[in-house]
Amino acid sequence: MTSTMTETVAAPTAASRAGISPWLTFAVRRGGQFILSLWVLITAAFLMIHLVPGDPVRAALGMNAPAELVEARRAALGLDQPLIVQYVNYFAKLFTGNLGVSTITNEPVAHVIATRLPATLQLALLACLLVLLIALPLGVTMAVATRGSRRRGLELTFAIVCVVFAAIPEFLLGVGLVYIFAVNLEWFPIAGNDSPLGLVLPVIALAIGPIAVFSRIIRVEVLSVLGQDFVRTARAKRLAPRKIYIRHALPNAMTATLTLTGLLISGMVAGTVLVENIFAWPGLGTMIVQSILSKDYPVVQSVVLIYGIGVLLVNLVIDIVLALLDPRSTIRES
Amino acid sequence: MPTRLKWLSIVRSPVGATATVLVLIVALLAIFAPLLWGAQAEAIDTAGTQQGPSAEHLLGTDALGRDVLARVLIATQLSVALAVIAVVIGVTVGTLLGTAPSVLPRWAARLVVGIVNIAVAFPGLLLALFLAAVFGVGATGAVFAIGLAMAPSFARLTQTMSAAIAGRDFISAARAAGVSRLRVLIRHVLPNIAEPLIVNATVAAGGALLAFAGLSFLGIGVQVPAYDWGKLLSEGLNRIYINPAAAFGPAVAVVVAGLAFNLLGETAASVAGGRVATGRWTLPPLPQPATRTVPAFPNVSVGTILSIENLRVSYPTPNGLVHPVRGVSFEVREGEALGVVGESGSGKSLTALAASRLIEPPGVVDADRLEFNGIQMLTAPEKTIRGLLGTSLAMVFQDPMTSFNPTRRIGSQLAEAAQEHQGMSKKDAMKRAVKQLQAVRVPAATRRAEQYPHEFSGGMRQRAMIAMGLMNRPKLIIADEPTTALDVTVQRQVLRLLERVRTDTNAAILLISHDIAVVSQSCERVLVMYAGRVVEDLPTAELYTGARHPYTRALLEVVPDLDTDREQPLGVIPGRPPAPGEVPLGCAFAARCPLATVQCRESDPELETHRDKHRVACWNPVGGDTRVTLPELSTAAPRTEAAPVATVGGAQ
Amino acid sequence: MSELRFDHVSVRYGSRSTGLTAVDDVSLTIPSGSVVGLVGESGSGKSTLARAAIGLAPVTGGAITLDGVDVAKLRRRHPIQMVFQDPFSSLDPRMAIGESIAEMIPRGTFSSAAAKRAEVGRLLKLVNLDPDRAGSLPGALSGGQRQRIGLARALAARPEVIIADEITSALDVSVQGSVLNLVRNVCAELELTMLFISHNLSVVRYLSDYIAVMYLGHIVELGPVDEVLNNAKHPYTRELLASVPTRNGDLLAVDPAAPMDVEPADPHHPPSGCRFNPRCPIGPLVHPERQICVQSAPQLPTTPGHATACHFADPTRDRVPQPFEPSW
Repeated sequence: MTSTMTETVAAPTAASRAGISPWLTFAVRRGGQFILSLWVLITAAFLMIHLVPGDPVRAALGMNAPAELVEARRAALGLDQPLIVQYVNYFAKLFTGNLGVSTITNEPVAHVIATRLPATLQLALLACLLVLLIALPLGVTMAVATRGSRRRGLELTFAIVCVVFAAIPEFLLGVGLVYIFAVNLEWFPIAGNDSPLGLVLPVIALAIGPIAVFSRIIRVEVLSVLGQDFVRTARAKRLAPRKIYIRHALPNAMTATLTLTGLLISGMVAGTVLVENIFAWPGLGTMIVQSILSKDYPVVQSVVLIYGIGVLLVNLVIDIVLALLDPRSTIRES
Repeated sequence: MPTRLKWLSIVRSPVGATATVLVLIVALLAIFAPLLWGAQAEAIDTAGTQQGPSAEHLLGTDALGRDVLARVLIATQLSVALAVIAVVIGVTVGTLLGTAPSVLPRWAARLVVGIVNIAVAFPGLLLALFLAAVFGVGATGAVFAIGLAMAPSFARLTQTMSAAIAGRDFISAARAAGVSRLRVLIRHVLPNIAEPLIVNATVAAGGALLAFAGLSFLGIGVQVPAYDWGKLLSEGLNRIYINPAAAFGPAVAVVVAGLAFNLLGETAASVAGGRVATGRWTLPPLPQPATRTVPAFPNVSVGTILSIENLRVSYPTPNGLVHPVRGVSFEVREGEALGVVGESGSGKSLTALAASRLIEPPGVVDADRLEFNGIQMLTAPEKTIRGLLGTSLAMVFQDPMTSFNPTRRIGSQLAEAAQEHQGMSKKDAMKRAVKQLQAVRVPAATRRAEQYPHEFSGGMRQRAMIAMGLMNRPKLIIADEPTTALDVTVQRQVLRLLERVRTDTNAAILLISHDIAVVSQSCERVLVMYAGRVVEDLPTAELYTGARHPYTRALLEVVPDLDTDREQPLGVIPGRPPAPGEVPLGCAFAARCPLATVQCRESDPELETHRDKHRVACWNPVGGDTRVTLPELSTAAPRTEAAPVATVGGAQ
Repeated sequence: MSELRFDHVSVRYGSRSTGLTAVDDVSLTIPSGSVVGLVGESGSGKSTLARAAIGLAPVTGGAITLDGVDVAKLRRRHPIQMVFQDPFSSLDPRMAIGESIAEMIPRGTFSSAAAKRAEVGRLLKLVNLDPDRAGSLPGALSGGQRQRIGLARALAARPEVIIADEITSALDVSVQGSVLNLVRNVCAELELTMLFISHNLSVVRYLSDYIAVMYLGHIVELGPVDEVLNNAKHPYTRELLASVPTRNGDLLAVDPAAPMDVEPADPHHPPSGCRFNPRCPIGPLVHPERQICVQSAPQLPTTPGHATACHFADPTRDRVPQPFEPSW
């Protein structure tokens, strides 16, 4: 009791009287974290090529490649320079948008990524949208319907269905969908993104697992919010139940939901890799697997970097939205 | 719950039992399958390649004519082994990273925490792909890749959990006694986080199984001639049009095994969190009170705002229904200040919540009469009740911090009460909110209405809560421990505010408190509750001189005052109140009562009117000037708590 | 001899600009074998002062000494032990209570495990618990029993000083007495020095020989318990006394002089001068000429006996009836 009191008395005015807006403190702190993460990510991507046991160029070109070719390729990649020089050069190149060239095709990596990124984004964003559109109402409805140990049968069924769907990996689901709807029923194309219909199966394959996980978590979140004191206060005001759920429960459950959205999108990145490979989708996912198999390190390096930056950006945006939604989070941490 | 029983209850729940059986089957297959079907799986039959299912080969044969079913069964070993090794790597590295901050110097600790925070945001599979690129394709690379990809989330989990443990006082106590940080970590922190770590590792094993399948499927996991389920799956998928069964077999194996680990972990987690459904319980119908038509107060007297008769609150538990409130009857008159006092578990707060219709399922409220402002609240339509209670009943709760919605401004939270029930416009309601904040003397009310709850101090928040109740025209204010979370000086201010509101608006006040002195100072009448019943109801003026129930007497006796004799030991009520499920047959206080007789242990006394405005539920009420002498716990000899050594001066 | 001295002790958390001085230049002596009660509202710094004595809070100024030796230098012995507020977080839920107690016994005190067990049994007996329960986990015990284990654990370290931090505030009143009686008897028997912290003046009065009142990191009044309570000089002590719910008091009575509706002070930005001045019924709010209260902080006299840190604590000068905005 004692400590909470100190905190609640002290917390509000501290930042405001120090003359710095809590928003500014938040922006500086969060921005700093983003830049730091970015630096770690870029460094990790840079180091990857040096962590590979043996000579990456030799590994990529194969044992039978002539020594001159290997040397020439090493020089072209700048691998013959001291590590620190390479490191600085890597940063310098990144800022000009130069991601190097593929060791296999000699194509500029930036160009390859630019042609493939939209396909992946299309898939991931649509799947995310589908997850939120289904999981959010489903989770809230289940929470309201099963609160206070009501409808235990429904609760159990829901839990089991969710666990089962969450345990089926995307690629199996994808294959199953292809087998049923593309091969046997021939409703949708088997692979590729030539028609809008081609989107249906991959998006569903991507979304079903996250829907199962998400709606369950949202149900638990909403239930825990419904059990909190301020919901009891809202009920004591005798507001209509709809208003209690929409005005009081939902905004508070949203904070947890948004945090989860970050995880969802991270998970979606992994999902796209597998699903793209099943549906021969011309995105980054098919490319990274081909590159790993063919040891095309500059490509792997850059794709990992792009995925990573995407994840960092998503988390940044979510933190900002969270701060707008819940005024405590900005002040509490500053 | 004892640990062994707790783990047994996993097996008892149907889902847990299924999961345990599945995990056992997977484990047995992993060990014995190669011995049983090894030859069959390697037997190449060039004549019978790529066959469909037959009696001989249930799942058909592969490109070399080998039996797919045998291969699926044998692949269990490698699949499970890889998953387990990866989890061991992930948990070990994660735990090391997670606990390191508590033993490292501060700068190093911050560095580790920072790195983990960045790594945890990174998708696991991507990390695995990155590491697969570094380690090269193959089983070893995949194991390290998946294991290390798991490490950041385990590190974060360990960090969060050990931080929670480190904040607790037993860690401070150990540190104060000079126990080293490493020893504290090993002896106190790790044992307390081991259980959730193991549970999460089980779930992670399911995840790892699927991740390996994914990697092998992509061709960057296990390489020929070795095979795991993922490898078999991708072989099967190539021929899915010829023989779907060859893909179906490994797919089912992966999903079932993954599911088994997941479910086992989930059930274990819910047991560890104490929320397992050990068998289902249903609500038996409450026995209907036989004589609904003949209430003890035949007519509610004029001027009564709240009339409660034989109120009961019940909750289902695995061991049947318990009744934390067992037949409470009282009335609140207009403009009256009534206090309810009792220790924790006496049912006083539940009585208040039941009276205001705020008990939620699975709790059940039942009463012979629950009448507020002339409306029967157990039978009237929901809409009537909402309108009535919304305008005429105000609640003030214990913790002003958690009782406001943290995401909305104070002003709008006040305003919505008037908008809902008076049809006021948002603007008018906001004006009224500011006016009410001024009325409860919140300084700079206009500005503060625009602030969020966390910007208020505890006392100011409680004022705002009272102001919220005043947005409509309450006839009764129920205040449930409104000052318990506040300092004494602030407590006095809030009590005075309630008193002023009462005199200004003639609203009655029902004040719930554990502090008998607070109630005696701020109310006209007091109800003393014990184990879900009212044991005494008397005017506060008579409390210190005329209380007749031994419990009331004892309560007054044990509270030290500013004039308590310091030479004498403090009074103690031996024993503790019965838990709601263990209320004895007779008077619930009998086991602790120095005056208890056989009658007290056999039948529960009714709350009977003793004198005008004084009711008491006791077979042997204490006389006017009797003093109940309570035993004190001497340090000389240990004494069992159940045997009170008590004397009653001048009783008989 | 075991005299605990706080000598101009400050405890400061956080950075220079946003930090918080929880304890500011506090001097307090706990004479050997006596009990000093420390009272004050939440955020006054009383728990921080206690935690500083056992090394759980950073001493950023001054020194804490036990018989003249800096407590930070007492590496081997741990002569100051603490009993904590929350009986549910102060015992390791996974460790048998006997083991929790044994952990505190200084190394090398007992050569054999049997002797150690016997000592645990003796300590359990000392706090009125059955020695056979040494193997129980804390979950099987009630709140009052846990607090007694907390005391036994503190005693296991062979302390000279016991710090009791709100040890009964989480307990029901019916068991509070048993813990207080026990603490009092044990301390008297073992001649321990004690710092007893509580927000409950009645409880502090019952146990203490001396009483110290803290407000926003300062000690504002200090003296023998009867002196301070019967003849309180600092206006804050008086307000505190008037707010204690007692059978004879009148909580709803109106003190016409006291400014009632002021915001509580912010510990991050304490008021200048006397920290109590924005709330003080005899300060500049009521007597505008008393600007000294805003300009300079009153010092606590170092003379023995009853001391007050107030510019206008002289009993002949306070309680000037002044017309003030009528409070209710």
